[in-house]
Amino acid sequence: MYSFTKPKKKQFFKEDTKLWLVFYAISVFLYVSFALFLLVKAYFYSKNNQIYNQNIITLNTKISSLTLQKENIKLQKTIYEDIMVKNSLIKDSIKNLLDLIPDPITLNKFLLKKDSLIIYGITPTKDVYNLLMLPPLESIFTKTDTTFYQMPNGWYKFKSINKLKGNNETAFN
Amino acid sequence: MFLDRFIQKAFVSFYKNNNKYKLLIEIIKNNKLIESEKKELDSKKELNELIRDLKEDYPQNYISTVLQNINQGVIPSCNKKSFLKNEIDIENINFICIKNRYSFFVSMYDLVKLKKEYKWNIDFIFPVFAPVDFYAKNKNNYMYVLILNTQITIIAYKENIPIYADISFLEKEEILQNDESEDIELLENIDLEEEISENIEDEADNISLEKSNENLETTDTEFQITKILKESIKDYYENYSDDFLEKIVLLDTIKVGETIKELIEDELLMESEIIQFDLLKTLNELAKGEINV
Repeated sequence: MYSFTKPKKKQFFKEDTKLWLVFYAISVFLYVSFALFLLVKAYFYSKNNQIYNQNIITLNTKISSLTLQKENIKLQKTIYEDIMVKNSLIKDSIKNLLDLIPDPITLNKFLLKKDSLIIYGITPTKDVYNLLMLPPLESIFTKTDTTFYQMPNGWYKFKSINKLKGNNETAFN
Repeated sequence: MFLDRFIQKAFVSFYKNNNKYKLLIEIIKNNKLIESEKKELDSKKELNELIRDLKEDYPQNYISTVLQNINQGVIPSCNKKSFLKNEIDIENINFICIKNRYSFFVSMYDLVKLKKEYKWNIDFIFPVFAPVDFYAKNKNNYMYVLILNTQITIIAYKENIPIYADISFLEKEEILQNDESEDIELLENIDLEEEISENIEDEADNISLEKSNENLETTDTEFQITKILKESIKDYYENYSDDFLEKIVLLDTIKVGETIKELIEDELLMESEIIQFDLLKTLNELAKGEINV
């Protein structure tokens, strides 16, 4: 335009203002940094919280599952114990039964149930059976029915049905 | 820039006038003038202090002044050959091309001297013709005359180009006055009784003397201006243009009397117009134009 000279580049702010602006900028930077730090922290806390909640849910599910397993194991243990007891009882019962059998009588088979005992066997005579076998059976069972079948050699096959009425306990205690 | 609207800019224009400094400070914010102050400082020291304070208070400061030396002029072309044609050594001058049509030039020596004259940096140094050229509206066969206290600047336009420019200095004649010692002697000789009665008469005489001195000085200035204009117009017609000048516009900064119009009409047979011109304000306007404010 009209001037022989060009102006030098001018500063926008006074020296004092620049100093203040630097301080303000630092303060703002610190505030923003701290705010960001808090935000990031909050974000990670929130994320961790979600993970922990998820873990809690998973663990609760596991606990439920384990409780169920525990109950199951307890049941199995009870059943096992029951079976063991029963087996022991049966073992004892069988032992007792076998002890009951006199030498002349031979057993073919026997069915041992909770409240009944069916015995199949061979006896030389009815009397041997009635004398040696029947009395212990009658002392144990409330009802005893015996059926004899004569074999060609003169010996008898027998079937003895023994029942315990109104008593759940095993007969061969 | 976005920050511009919030930051105050100080435009300071000054020029040296009879060993005093005339100064205008304008504070601008968002293109609005919010403060304006005119000052007249007696010494360079005061000017330096004021500028130093201003520079501290307003980092966005633009200081402008006008070159008042005689070694400057106008060339109606931007071509360097035109300078040679006018016997101007281009290595010793600094010139600015205006609108790619004409140039203002100044002696390099004067420009450097002005720059070194002040401790602080002057942002804009304008040729004395610049404010006139900036202000001039009608630029066809018009002559503009910028009247300062000690000098007048003349530019004559033809077809929107300044084809003639001149700077002349006004001679200020010292008006003889009684010096202080004479006053004291006079006072000693006057009786106290007479003093009171004559006091009023003396005051009246002093006032009328001052007035007559002012009138004498003004009339003398007007005569000088008319004389310079007469010579300039003669030079203009002889060496620059055959077209008649339509009007002389006087850009007045010192409040010349209306009698100058009559003098011009009588002596030069031309129409004239006096416009009260604020040189400092115009310089600030030029500075604003330079930085597109």
